[in-house]
Amino acid sequence: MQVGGKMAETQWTLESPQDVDNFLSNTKLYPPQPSCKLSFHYKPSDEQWDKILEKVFRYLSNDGTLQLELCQGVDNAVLLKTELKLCGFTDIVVEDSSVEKKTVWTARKPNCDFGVSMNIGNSTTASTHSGGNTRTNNETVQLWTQLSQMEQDDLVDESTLVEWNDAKENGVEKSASACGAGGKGRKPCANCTCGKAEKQITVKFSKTAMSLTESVAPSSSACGNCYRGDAFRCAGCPYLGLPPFKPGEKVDFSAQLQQADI
Amino acid sequence: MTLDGRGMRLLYATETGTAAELAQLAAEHFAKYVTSLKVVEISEYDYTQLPSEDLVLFIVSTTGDGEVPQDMRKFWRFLLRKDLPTNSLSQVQYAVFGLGDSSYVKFNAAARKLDKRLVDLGAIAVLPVKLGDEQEQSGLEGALEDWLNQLTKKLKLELSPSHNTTSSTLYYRVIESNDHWKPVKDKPIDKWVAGECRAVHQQSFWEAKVLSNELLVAADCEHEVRQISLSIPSTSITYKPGDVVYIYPKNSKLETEKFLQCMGYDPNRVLEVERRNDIAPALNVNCPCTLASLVASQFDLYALPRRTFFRKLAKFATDPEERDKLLHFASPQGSDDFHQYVTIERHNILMCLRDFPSARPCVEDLMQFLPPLRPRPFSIASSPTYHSDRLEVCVSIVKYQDCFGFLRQGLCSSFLKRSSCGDIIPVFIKEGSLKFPKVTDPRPLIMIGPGTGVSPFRSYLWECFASTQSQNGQEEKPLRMLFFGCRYEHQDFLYKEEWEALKRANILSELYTAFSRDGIQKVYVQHRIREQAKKITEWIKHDDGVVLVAGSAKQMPQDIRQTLQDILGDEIESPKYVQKMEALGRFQVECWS
Repeated sequence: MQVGGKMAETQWTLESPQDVDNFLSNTKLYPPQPSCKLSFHYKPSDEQWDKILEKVFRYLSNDGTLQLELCQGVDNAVLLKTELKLCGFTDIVVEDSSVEKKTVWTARKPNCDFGVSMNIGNSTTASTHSGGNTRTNNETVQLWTQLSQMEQDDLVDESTLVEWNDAKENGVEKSASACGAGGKGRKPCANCTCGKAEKQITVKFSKTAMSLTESVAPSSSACGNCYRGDAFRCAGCPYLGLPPFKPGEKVDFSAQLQQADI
Repeated sequence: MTLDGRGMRLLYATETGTAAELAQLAAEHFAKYVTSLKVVEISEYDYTQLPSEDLVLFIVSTTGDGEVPQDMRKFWRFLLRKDLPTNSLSQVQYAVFGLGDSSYVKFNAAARKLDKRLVDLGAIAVLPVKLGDEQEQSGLEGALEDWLNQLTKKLKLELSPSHNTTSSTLYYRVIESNDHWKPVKDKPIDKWVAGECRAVHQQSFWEAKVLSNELLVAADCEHEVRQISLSIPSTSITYKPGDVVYIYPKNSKLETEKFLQCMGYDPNRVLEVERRNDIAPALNVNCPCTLASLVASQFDLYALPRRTFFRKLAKFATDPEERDKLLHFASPQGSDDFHQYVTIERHNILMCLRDFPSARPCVEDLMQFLPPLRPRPFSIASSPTYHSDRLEVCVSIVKYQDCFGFLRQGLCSSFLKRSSCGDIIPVFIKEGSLKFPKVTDPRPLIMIGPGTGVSPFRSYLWECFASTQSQNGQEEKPLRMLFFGCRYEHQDFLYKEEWEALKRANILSELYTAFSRDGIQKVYVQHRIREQAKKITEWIKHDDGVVLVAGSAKQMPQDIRQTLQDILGDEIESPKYVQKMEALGRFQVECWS
């Protein structure tokens, strides 16, 4: 990436997407310039055009000019013109040079700010930097840009922004992680025959059950849901926590307890 | 209220990735309308441009003790400046959506503060701030849907004629690679290389090599904590105490295989993935790669599925009952069951796919809605000067028993646990929220860091040590007090010998420890702080002292703040005093969940 050169013109030669990334991350460091020239030796993607042109537009001072040099083969006339217009450029002109095998686009950033004017706000605190209260968008942006380069420790106390009633009861208990706590848990199947009491399930799956390796071949399940996986199983299902299995298939509890290669 | 065609901007501030996901959902919503929405992660946004925006939407989560997410700190600090003219944003329309949990006192603090500050700067609210609540029946997603619908109505957005209601957004396109690469000897052809694709945070990451992986606690300690040392490949990469390193984990081989088997995918299939959409999370792959390597490194198999995951998966379920069940989980009526299956019983993506065997989309389809693996932040525990070319982190290995009694583990911490010397891990460094005083700052410093919270303080103290080595220690060293807490002195007293060495070198003046389970009564750092009330008050009030707190969120920050207020004065004056300290950076809290 090259920078500098003639008096008030900044130039970049962009040969790859990496160059574009570098360019985009560096423009912020440079103050507004009256003109800018970009030489493209490859074709940026649509989204890259978008970002590049937007950045350049902001980077240019009012009434500034942009010159885009595209090598032969890098051409997208209709899209480029639209993109330039969308960013706010005017006086877009394209010149094809078959001699030098390139296309050169020029565009201008207009002088005025789209007719936007600033409302005189209800400023209760005096603004230390502006002379008056009327300001355009771009001027505010430039003001903010200048401020952002200066350290400032005098901040609004954020705790004053919102009132907290510390003593207030939120009335909502954070749900405990116990299975089915709060009564909104699983419901038993209507015709469940295999459901054991919840107490038994807890015992079964307690730490001591980690040594449980015997497989249980489910002979029958009246509700038919035991096989299907947790999404279908009811509150009393002894197979909760296990993968789905086929009827009659031996269920291996130990497989579930095997942990990833820690 | 119409837009002038310039488009809308959506800024999101995420802590754990949830806000990022909701931002994606919002983007998908707006993609159907005649407008262009630019989605930007808030730390990537050039905030000086804010006054010139037409319409900005914010999706913001609250973290720690009612704080804005870490990635939003810089933006937020700027926005709070008193020297910003109060009509700066008078041309900007905005709307804020907050992610919160009403069981916390400071419910949705960040979103509410942001909303108020924007108003104070003159911005025009399109809608009142929308406070999403995890505790609500329909959860955050339901609240988001509400908000999006209200916005669409208010902004009078029209459906784009080219929008096809049945099509879904294409995020990634898979390009088949022609050669079927076979592993040569035992070396995989593809390897994890910091590639051309940008990382999720649009930062370029670099490759760190694991130098060591040590247990920091006793072997029989129930709660495992390890120190991982990483190499820094280039001298241009620097960091300072308080900074945070983001680590990209991978799924274990076992889990990856389970997934591939479960879905019937060929692990050796070689493919390239092309990102097709701006709002799709960027993947970090060196294309082409094997499917096994893609899955292991890019998709979060341990993530808890969102409602949209169920909705999208339902389309592929060939069994009608499974399809209905999936749609049920995604619907408002199925909210209780969703809560039971996901939030309480914690069925993750892998378990969910296993439970619905008839839903077997091909890889191209599934990757459009599989949650991507996000990098995890860790507070850096090493000092850049003292530990020169290495970076150390203190990792608490996450292990817990689920409600069925099965052992579950954290994805990233178990990845780090099984990492061995020579392993390559992509990482990048970001500024943390703690702003340490300069090493030469004469003000007394009080550090409170129970458990792994002590990491940034270890970084700072060794940095102080290394910086004062060159001087001959004739000047008075600043006073520094550290409060550390853990369960057992002989099990998890992290860096015990190092604190003793730092004390001998006069870098650390005083160390107070609280071992909660050693005695009959539970002792925590709060108790030790109260015991030193007199000294602390003197250091703070007379000598302009600074208090820094770091550790896991939950109750600790709130307790510490309360303790501090209690010892500094009366009920009326001291809260204000502490607030003032906060505004001046003299009281800082960095928490993580």
